[in-house]
Amino acid sequence: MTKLAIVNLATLPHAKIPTEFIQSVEESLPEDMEFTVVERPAQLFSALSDATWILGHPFPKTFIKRNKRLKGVFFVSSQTPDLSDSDILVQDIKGLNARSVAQHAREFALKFLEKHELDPKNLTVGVMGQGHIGEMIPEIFKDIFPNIQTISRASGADFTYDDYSDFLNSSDIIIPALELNAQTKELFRPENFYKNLKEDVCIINIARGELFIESELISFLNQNPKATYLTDVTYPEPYPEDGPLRQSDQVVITNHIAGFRNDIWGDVLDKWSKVSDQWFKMT
Amino acid sequence: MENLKQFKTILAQVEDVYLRLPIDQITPEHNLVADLGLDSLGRITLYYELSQEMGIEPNEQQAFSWNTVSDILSFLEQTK
Repeated sequence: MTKLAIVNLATLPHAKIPTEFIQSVEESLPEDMEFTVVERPAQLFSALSDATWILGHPFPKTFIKRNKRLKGVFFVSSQTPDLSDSDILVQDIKGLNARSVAQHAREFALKFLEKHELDPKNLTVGVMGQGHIGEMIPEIFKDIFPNIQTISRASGADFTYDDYSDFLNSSDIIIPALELNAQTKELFRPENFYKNLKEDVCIINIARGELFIESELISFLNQNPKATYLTDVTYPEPYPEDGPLRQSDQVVITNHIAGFRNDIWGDVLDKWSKVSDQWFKMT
Repeated sequence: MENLKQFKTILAQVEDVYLRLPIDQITPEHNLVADLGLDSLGRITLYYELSQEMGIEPNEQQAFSWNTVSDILSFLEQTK
């Protein structure tokens, strides 16, 4: 007997996996496959400890440590835990929600313009990274923001990290579109990042909350009252009501909604269908 | 003191649990929610790590009866 566990643990309503999606997945499963949905943390151990396949939101690795049957995990997220130290097959939805995330960054940028009554023709948008989202941002922004510059380790960007300080001090709006790893975290250390920013910079974070050390970010904002931090991602999530970032009027937080517009679920289901077709043939 | 030291050692090894305080500042009196900011997912994750360490069968209801660090230390003492 094989088993699929769907992890639907999001506490924010918009991030929940829709009921219709879960029904479609269930209807497509082989008849002899057991099926369970996890909606509360207390269900995680019993549901995941013997699952063959897992589909859903990222979960603590603790719950699969003792699972010897697990063959694959399909994360309904672009931000996935590192399972590279195991033989488990891993898929995620990177790229599927790129347009949605880039659109959210654009809405943040428009709010910034409106609040400060700025002319976008006089501003330069700096995009960090050339992944799915990093490539989508210039396309989404170019109708309003004519001046866009990019930086990446890969070739084809306007800047490389050899010229990081030039990139930062010539950008009015900075949008990290980066994965979280040791290298990218290093880019945001004070000596590399904050000391090179304009005093009235607008940082739009649609990448990862953990890229920024909260105390360092708050210190920068306190020292630069014209600077703005607009973020869809925080650490932890959901961000505490009494968290320090909420105390600053230079900060706007949305609750990780960028990648979860209603129109992505059809694409996610298509990808799951293709991936699961291949995976289930293995059992 | 021995249980507190053991708790901090385990805590330092646990991934995916966010705490509002640095581990070395944690005391038995701290409330898990108000002081440490432990949410339900963090609480249950921590519980499974501890039960694995102590070699006992998990009973998640126990995790939800904890209010303070002291309750966790009592759990460690009882399961020795």
